[in-house]
Amino acid sequence: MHESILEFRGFKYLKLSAWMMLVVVLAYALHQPNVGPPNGGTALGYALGTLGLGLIIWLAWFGVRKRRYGKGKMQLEDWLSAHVYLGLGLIVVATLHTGFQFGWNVHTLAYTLMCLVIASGIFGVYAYLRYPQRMTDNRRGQTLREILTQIAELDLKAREISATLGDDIHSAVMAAQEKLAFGGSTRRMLSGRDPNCPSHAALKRVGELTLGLPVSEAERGRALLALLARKTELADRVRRDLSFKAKMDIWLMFHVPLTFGLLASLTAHVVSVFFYW
Amino acid sequence: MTILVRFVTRKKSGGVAHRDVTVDGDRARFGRSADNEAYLNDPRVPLYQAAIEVRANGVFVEGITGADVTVNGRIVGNSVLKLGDVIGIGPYDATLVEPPPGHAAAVTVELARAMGDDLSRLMGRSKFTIGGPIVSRRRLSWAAALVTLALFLIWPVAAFFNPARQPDTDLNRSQSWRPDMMWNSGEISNAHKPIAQQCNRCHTEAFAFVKDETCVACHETIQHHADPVKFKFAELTVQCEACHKEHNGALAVTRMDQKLCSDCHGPFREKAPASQLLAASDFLKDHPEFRPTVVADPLARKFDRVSLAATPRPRENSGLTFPHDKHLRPGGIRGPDGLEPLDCDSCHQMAPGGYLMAPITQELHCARCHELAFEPVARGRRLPHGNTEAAIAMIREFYSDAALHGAFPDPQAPAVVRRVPGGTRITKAQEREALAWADQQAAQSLEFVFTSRAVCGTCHIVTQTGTGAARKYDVVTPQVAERWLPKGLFRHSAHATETCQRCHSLDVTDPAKWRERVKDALPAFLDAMALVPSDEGALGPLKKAAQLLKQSPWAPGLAKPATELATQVATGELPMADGVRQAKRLAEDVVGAAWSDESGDILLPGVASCQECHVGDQAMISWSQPNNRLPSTCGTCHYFHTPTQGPMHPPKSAAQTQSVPGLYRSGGVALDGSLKALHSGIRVAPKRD
Repeated sequence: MHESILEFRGFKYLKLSAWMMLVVVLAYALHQPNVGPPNGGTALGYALGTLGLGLIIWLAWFGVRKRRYGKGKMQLEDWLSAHVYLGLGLIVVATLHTGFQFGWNVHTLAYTLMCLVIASGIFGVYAYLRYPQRMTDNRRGQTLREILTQIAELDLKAREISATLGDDIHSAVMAAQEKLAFGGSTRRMLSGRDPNCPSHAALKRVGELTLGLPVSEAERGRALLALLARKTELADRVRRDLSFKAKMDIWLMFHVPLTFGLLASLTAHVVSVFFYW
Repeated sequence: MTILVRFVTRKKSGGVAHRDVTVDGDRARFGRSADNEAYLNDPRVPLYQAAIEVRANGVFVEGITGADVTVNGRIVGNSVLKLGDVIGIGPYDATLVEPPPGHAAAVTVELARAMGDDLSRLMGRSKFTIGGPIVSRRRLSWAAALVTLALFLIWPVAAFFNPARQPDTDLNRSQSWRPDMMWNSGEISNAHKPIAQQCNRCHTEAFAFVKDETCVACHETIQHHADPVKFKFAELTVQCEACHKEHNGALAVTRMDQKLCSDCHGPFREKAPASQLLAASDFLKDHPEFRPTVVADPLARKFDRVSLAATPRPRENSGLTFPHDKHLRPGGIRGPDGLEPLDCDSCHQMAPGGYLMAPITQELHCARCHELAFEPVARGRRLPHGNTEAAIAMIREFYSDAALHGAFPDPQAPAVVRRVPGGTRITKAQEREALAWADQQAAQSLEFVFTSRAVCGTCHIVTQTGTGAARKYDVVTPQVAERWLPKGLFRHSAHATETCQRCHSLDVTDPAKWRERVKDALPAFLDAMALVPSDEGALGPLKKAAQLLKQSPWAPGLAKPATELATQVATGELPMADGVRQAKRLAEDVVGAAWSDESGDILLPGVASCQECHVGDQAMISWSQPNNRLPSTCGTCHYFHTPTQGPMHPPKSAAQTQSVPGLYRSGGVALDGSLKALHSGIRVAPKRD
């Protein structure tokens, strides 16, 4: 039975993270700094900072750990579930570490980057929970390669038919086949649409051209149109598939580089704080 | 029953190979899945595509799970087959052929459409993942990390170690932005705003706390807490940074928690037996009674520090006679313009700064009534205050001048003194007579001025030495405390919402004496009035008087009702008008009695008065007591840097720890309120051109 990473082991890591947040919030509420307002430089501030730093390093280590599947005591699913929940808990730890003091400085930069990393991670969780099912539905249980193979197959059949239907139709079919390409710019891939889809254009064009076919060729024309319609539908399906895949990839384009920016700004934060103690 | 499935493969050489599969039963399925009877390993074939079935009336084909089936190129549903029909299964053609003997049906399966290069070309043209070699996650990650490190770490550090860097020493240096400003962890306090952009002014060394020398470079006179030679405590050698934290916003940077003090001052008697201070750890729960510094002997200028809780209650001997009650008589005091009601602020005005009350001077506050006249004839002449010799000289000069000038309007004076001025010069004998008279008059006048209760003696103690012509008078200079409690800071302006009486009337400062004074004045007045049913009717005015009293600050102390008075009025024994008059009179007496009648009374409230509003650092005293008092830590009233001590940094020798008594008496607060100058000890460098 498949178990979502959110519900993993009966919400074990949600409970762990909730306890951590509770303890941290209570400590913050009860702590009275000797001098001045709550701040990252009080005893509790240092404690929260150390905890937050440890969490960030551990969370970032997930990027290494996930490449070593099957090693270590904890399953990768444990790691991922804990990564999600402790990552969410980090918001509380780090926010209380700031003592709600923000400014235009390297410290708030680190905090902002952390928030962006977590926000992109939240989207990632959404994407990983939502899109695989929708991808499967969209591909009707087939793999992407199978669909592409079917398209190639349809191309072959279409060529065979169009070769008997005059040069206009044949060249329209051939051009659509030569030009069809999936992917493209990131934005187009995310949209899941291609307004300049050659397959759509060919379907339209061939539809117009077959109207003028003599009766003897009309049936082949209809067969060709059926092939093109099928191909167009498969092409749309591929684009939707790529769109889901792009959405599942794009957040990592933020999550990972922002994490490295965060680690760097965290280094600057820690060094600068003790540099100008 | 069996079905023969023959897989035909055409070789490049032109030969034909085949492989036969005999299916037991009347049904053979075609598909990519291995459990199909006719298993076709090609990605273009669905897992389960079609099945042929031998029935009584022929061979049928049907799609499996909704897959399309084509027969001779047409999509069909369930369809009967005839020999030679071609079923399209992906790229394969399955043809129904004449079955060999022993088989119910036979199908040849042949790969009709070999996998072309359409697929590979389509895949070559397409892009299936976002990003690419230029904008890859790896590149972006490296870029993000390196740019961040370079901007926010390497640049500021490089600027710090730049040998060309000018040290920040000039307060008035024009402030230009520098990369280490990006490290600013929070707003600088207002006091340090002028140097807010000069990080290196305080952060002189890398990876080190801000050094004390850096602080005292400006705060050079900041005083020590206690004598570091006498009291060798590690706590007294803390760094500035332990108590003063910067980058926490515009307001103060000073540690104010109770623990700062109570750690040492709680168990103080054990910790520092050499000190005369008492232990204190919490203002409500553990704070000694106030011990004001009072004048014990104005002549010897002797001061005592005595607890207000001492029995008998301590008294002050300032050398001044001043009964408050006479001056604050309800209804007013007799002045040059008739009855003048006085109030506290007729004489006591807050000094600038709001901490202390301004000093009282004879000229400003007393002279209007106490005008220091010495001779009715000398109309308008007033003795100078505060200068005995000048006063004596003025008196002597006046009578000598009058004697020699003549026309003195006293029939008992000699003729020469009474003569019409001008005309012939007086003789030497006349002059001697006149001056003898003048000496005698002056002596009488001096005796009157200094020894009677009318002029100097009204307020002052006068000493006499010698007799006859050698008699000398001197007025003892009163010693009036500037601050009774110099070890604490009391800010009058912060208590402006309270009345003076709330803390300084006799019923608060010395309830025992006050009860003695009002004992006979108003027994049971209030309680009796409380029994009167309404404001209306015969007893209405009396009740009103009682209500006025109740609203007065003395009401809580008024315990004894004027039952008799009320009863007398109620029974008609006493006329109503007389009853009201007597009630008012009684009320006035009670009010008046709250004013002290002797200048020896120390009109300071005890610690309990302050505790009515102020508690220790915990506003909540207990779960049963509501939180309605001000949390006040030691730092609310006391300071750490003691004005009487020498500088805190650098550590000094015993010779430098001499305390400064004068400073002590004023507690470090200048009368003009310039507390800050002494408190922060800041020295600002003069502006440079």
